[in-house]
Amino acid sequence: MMLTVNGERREARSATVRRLLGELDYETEFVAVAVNYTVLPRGRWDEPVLKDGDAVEIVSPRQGG
Amino acid sequence: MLTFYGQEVASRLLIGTALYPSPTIMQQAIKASGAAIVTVSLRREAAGGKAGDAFWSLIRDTGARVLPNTAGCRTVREAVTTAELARELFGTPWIKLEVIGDDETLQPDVVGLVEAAALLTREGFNVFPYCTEDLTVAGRLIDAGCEVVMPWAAPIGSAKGIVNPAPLALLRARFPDVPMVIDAGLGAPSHAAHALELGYDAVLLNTAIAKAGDPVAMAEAFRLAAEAGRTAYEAGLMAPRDFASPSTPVVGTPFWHAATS
Repeated sequence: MMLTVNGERREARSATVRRLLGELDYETEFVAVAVNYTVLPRGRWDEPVLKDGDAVEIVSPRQGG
Repeated sequence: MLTFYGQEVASRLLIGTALYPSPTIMQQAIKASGAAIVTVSLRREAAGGKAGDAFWSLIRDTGARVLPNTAGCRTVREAVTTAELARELFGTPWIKLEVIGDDETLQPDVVGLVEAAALLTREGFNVFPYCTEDLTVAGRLIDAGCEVVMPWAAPIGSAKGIVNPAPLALLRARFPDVPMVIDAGLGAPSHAAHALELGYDAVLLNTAIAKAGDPVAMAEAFRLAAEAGRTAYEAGLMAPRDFASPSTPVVGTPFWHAATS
């Protein structure tokens, strides 16, 4: 299926967020994830929520003012 | 003691964590500032990246409480989702809510801000809204559940200091019991002192320290200025007047009335 991950179109096989992070080589400890503007809490990363066309945002802590 | 959402705040200077020459200087500047609260943000992580991990370790080492922001958000939906991501990432209900309405001035979109503040408050967030000095907007934010209000001094990163002191003084007087932080636009320690002298509870700044020639020394200077401003406010500042009033006693002045004889 095709996903938009952090603004880029990506081909992916994983249906769960945890598998997707592994498939795309993201670290998992210090990230938060939203799917289509809805945050998916860490406790739901094993649910098969991902489907073709979804927009996934993967973020981590950064400097801010 | 100053409190934000029931939490005692040990310092009246809050600082940002961006734009420092190095991570080490950032840590030293936070320490020198005495700040008990630092602002942080979140950004897209790169595949295979560890940028977030490295930064977060540095911040936790400082022991400061974090206030995540929604910097760069231009719509209510972006700001609300970013706040939710920040709560998931940093484990705090505190959020510095920014909804930007203009790219050149980074002026808050106060209409979107009030709407986002109400939504987030209902979700259990403790919202610190970055707003203008507008009295009615501040009232709407308080009505929406904000227990802290953060009006700007001047546009973010402009270093102009308090551009509109009269409306800020009015805002302070109108809501005397709501903790208020002057956020953005401060360039010099004297600007921070000015904010505290006006009765504002604290100041929040980043660029003026991070981009100083010596950020650690500037952090110390801002700490001292915030303390001076607050002490002056508590001591009671004299009211300005138009004409002179001699400070040295007039009675007993040598040669007084001598010209008339």
